[in-house]
Amino acid sequence: MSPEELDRIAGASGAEIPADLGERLGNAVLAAAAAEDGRSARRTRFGYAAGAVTAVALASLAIVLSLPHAPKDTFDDPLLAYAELEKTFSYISSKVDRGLDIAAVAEPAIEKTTGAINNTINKKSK
Amino acid sequence: MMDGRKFIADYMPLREALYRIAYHILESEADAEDALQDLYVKLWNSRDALDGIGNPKGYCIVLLKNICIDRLRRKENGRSESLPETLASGDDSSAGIEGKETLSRVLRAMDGLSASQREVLRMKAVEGLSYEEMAERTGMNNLTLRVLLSQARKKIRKEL
Amino acid sequence: MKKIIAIAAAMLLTLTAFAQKDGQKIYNKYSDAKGVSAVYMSPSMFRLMGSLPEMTVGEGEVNLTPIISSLSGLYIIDSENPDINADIKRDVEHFVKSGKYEMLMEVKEDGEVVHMFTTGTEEIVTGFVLLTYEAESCTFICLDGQMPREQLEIMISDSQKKKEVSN
Repeated sequence: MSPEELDRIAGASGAEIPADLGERLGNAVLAAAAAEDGRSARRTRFGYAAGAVTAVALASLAIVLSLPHAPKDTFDDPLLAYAELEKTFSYISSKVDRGLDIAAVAEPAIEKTTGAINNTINKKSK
Repeated sequence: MMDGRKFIADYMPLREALYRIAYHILESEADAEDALQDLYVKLWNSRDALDGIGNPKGYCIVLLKNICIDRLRRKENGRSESLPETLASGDDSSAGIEGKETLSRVLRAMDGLSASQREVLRMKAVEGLSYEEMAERTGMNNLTLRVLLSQARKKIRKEL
Repeated sequence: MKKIIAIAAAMLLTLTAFAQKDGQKIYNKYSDAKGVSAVYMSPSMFRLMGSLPEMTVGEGEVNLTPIISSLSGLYIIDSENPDINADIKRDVEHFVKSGKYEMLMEVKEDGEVVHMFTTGTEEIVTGFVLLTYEAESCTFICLDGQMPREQLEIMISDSQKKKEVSN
């Protein structure tokens, strides 16, 4: 069968398309992507594969030796943990920053009020 | 390398046309679906070469035809997809069989993912979205997205 | 402002069994609940992070290496479950009241309330708790460890500067 013939067949109606074809193919592509993602996630950004293996082994050992009833580490890979820690500090910083912004806006009003109060106290004491 | 979103935009719309071809050759709904799955996985795994393809449909037709003919030959020789009786028939074949087994395991692992984990994994691994883009699309915060992705990856990595 | 940053920079919990136990209690209670994302990093993981090879810190990134060696635990509970958010808030408030925590900062804006608590000495910051609460979501962050206050102050300031650069 030539490609032209197959192209004609592709455009013809007839075969009923399975309802879940799109979903099935989407899952297959996702599985392939996930497998690839899983393999690349195991390789560190710095090509420190041996260290990552050691790190995981040490983490496992450390978990066994850790406090009883301690939860399990969310991450096996210290690089992923590092990225998460970075995001956490960023989040905390953003909240601190927001508080400081609000305080900064209020500062002139506070100073004005304080000034007015001090003036009143000074006048009364005279 | 072709990015995930372009891959989805260029190749997913071809599925119905390609299905008709596979069904025509294989005369079986199940076999046609399997053949199409093989095709799309093959396309995904070689997407770094797809940017140079001027005619995606034409390219897919050629690939799919070969996949279908291979299936027919294997069936004629009495071998089934799921029973690799020999790994000695050449590098491509053994790599293909191992790839299929891995894919099956990963598909099973994906069944164990929650809808959120699956969606975050799809956005990251297939579409290649950044955390900011995912946050915009889902309304979830970065911390949540990272944890969901990490959990999904853990489950998948167990199968690899 | 510096004073607030300095206080805000006091982010590590004491390594008292009591404090660690409570942070862990809250984590254990809610980490498997529906609608909750949870993160835990153990003392071992912080040691592993501390022994990673010299990392290239890109633009917009903060170098956390100086602080990592003084951290020993992180608990995060991020809940999108309105049915349990009030319970989390109540448990955290009980936790900070029964421990030696001072409120460092309170921010209320657009229905969201943010509380930060710390414990420690003038020189060493030993505990930090952050609670972000609104009806639909609640975030609890609890950090364990011991860190020189000045170091943490610098790191927090860097986090903000780097964020501004990358935005």
